Amino acid sequence: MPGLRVEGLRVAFGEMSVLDGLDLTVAPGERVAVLGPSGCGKSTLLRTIAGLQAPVNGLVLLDDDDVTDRPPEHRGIGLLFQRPVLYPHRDVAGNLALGLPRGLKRDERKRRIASALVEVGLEGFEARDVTTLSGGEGQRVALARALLAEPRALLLDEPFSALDGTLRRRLVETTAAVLQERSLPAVHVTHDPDEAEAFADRVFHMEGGRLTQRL
Amino acid sequence: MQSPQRRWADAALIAPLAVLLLGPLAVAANRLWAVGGVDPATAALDLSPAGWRSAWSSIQLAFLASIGVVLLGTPVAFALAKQPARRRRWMTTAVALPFVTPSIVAAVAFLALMDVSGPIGSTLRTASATTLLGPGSIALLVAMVWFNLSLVTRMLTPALARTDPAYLEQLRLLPQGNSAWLRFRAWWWPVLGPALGAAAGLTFTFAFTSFAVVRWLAPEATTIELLLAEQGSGAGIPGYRTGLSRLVLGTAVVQGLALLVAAVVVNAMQRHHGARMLQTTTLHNGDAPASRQSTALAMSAVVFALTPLLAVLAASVRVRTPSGHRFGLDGWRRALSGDAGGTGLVDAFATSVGTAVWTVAIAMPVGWWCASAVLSAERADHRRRAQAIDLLAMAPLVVSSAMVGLGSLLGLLRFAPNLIASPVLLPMAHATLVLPVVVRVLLPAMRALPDDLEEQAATLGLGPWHRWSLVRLPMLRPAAVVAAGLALAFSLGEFGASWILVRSTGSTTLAVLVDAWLARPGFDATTRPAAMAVASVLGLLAAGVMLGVERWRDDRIGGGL
Repeated sequence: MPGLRVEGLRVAFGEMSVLDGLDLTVAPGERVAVLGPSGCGKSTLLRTIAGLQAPVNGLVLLDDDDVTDRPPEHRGIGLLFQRPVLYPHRDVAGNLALGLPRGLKRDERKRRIASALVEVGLEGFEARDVTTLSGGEGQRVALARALLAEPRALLLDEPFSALDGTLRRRLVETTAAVLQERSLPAVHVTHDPDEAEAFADRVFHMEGGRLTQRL
Repeated sequence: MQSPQRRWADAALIAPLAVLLLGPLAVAANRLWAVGGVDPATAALDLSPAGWRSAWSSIQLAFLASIGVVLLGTPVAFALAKQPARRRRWMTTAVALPFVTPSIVAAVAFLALMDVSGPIGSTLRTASATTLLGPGSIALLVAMVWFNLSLVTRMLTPALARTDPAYLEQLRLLPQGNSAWLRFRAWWWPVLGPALGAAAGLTFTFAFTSFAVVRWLAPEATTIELLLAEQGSGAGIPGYRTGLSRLVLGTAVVQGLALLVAAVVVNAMQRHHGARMLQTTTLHNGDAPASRQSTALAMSAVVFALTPLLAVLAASVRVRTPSGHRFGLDGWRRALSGDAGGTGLVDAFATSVGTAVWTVAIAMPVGWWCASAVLSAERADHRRRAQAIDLLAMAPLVVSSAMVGLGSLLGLLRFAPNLIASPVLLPMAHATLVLPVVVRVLLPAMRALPDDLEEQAATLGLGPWHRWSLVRLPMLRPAAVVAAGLALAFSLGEFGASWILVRSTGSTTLAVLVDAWLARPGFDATTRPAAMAVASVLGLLAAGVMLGVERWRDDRIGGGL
């Protein structure tokens, strides 16, 4: 089955189980939100899907391809962190270039970067120093970079939590529209029920290391 | 904006400082010019083959030492960074001990190691006997790497341990970071490159101006510093060996130029490194479990750092006998009595400590003012002025301590001959030499202090004095303690300038006393243990100061020192 599938995922830190036999299926173009209090394992779920955290057992499948034992760099999964992780020694274009495949010609690289910036509403920001960007602008650059990498699924780890209400709503809408257009499966974790409703097709609640769908 | 009062205050500092720092050099150059009959540029261009040999030899040694420090220090820094926070702290401190070890102690430490029976001693003796770069050069290079290794670990380990892991994790999820090489190129190199450049530049500077280790480990080496120290006293005498004056002037110019380039590189690299550290580090201490290999490598570095120091202590109680050796306190007794007309250990100890305390008392306010002037010019966007003051404060690094000693002596002979035997002379020379260290520690700490703290205090009605004493000083106290501690340690161990000036002041420091014991002619089984005993006291003193200030060090803003 195409899309993202997680089966019987178990992650433990020492004696403590954070994820306990968790199952989740996200179809292509579908957006799923996971709600839960701080420390319940939401971020661990995303880090395990991305390959940044090794599970004790369970499977992560992407378009029926078992990627559980693959390192993060070879999974084709994008992740937006809670704060935009932008490299201060590179300008906006330099940060976006990290998302492009290697060996592209200079003109093509510039064209793709310009079009990615247009897509997130930051036209002409190529030469900007990333340390001068606002939180919202930074997150949009991070989103554009993640999309330039053409991931097979996108994970969002509360990337909008530090933004104010209006800006947050607008970014949630922009992101949802881009994902819809690209038919990407996406998992968004948040502790804000309104944001979850606005973003997702289905909303889950995490408790005891497992997910229950909210009706 | 910089206020006019501030500009005047800065100018009032800079002018005498420039005279103090550059004066001895100008006096020495002027005298050598007059006696040798050629200007400094011509003296450098027409350098004799002996002069070029010493320049080439210094450059080779300093370059190889820098490469060695980077190649060995980088994996050690990675290994240290992987250790749990507490273990990392003491291991980094142990690896840093050689850096504050007086150079004369380092020299006797490696001499002591060569005396040790077993694999370490025989390897060092064999390496030392090779003629690659001249006899003793391999042991000298090992000593230089040992000395400066902590420059890399001090700068890299905090960056590696405290860099927000999200940067690397994010890169792994992007096409341009999907291999270890690409991640090194896109992340580690930009983050660590400036630190490595600064560490290599500082190693080059310290190795280039090494005196004691060269004098004792590779006595046949002909480095510029050795030439200046040993031949300098015969130069500048009207009508006497004018060729020597030309040689000393020419090699001093070549040395100054090489070190100036190194100082510019270090300055630029440290600025980049400091800025990047503040942008990319978090306050967390990575506590991931360390692998066995990394712990083994870190422990090896600790053993490498401590072995020569322990060898000095052991050698101080090891007395040669016709049939081998025995253990006894004969060396310590001889060092304490200071027989044969020499200075005793206690007197030298008092001179060293007294000089070091005076050095700190002079260097700290001047260094503080210098760092404040650089910062104030930077914040007012007067970059050239900031760079000029910063480079001025670095000037003593660019000048050999032998030249500072010689210049001070010549300057006093000409302008204030009454001061020639003054006890102030040595602390003044030491304060000049440690000023760059004080500024290099204080300036990054001042740069890291947010503007708004003082602005907030001003809005609460605090005047300039209260803002300084209640906000600025307490927040900079850790950096000030570290700067004072390092100045104290460096003054205690300073050898080059002391070696020259002590002849006029007559007060022998511990570092000079070690040299005097080692240089004593004729065979006496207790001479070397006596030298080792004095070196042990000096080493322990410097190590004690270092350990005392260690807990004050904030490795995010220490500028690598």
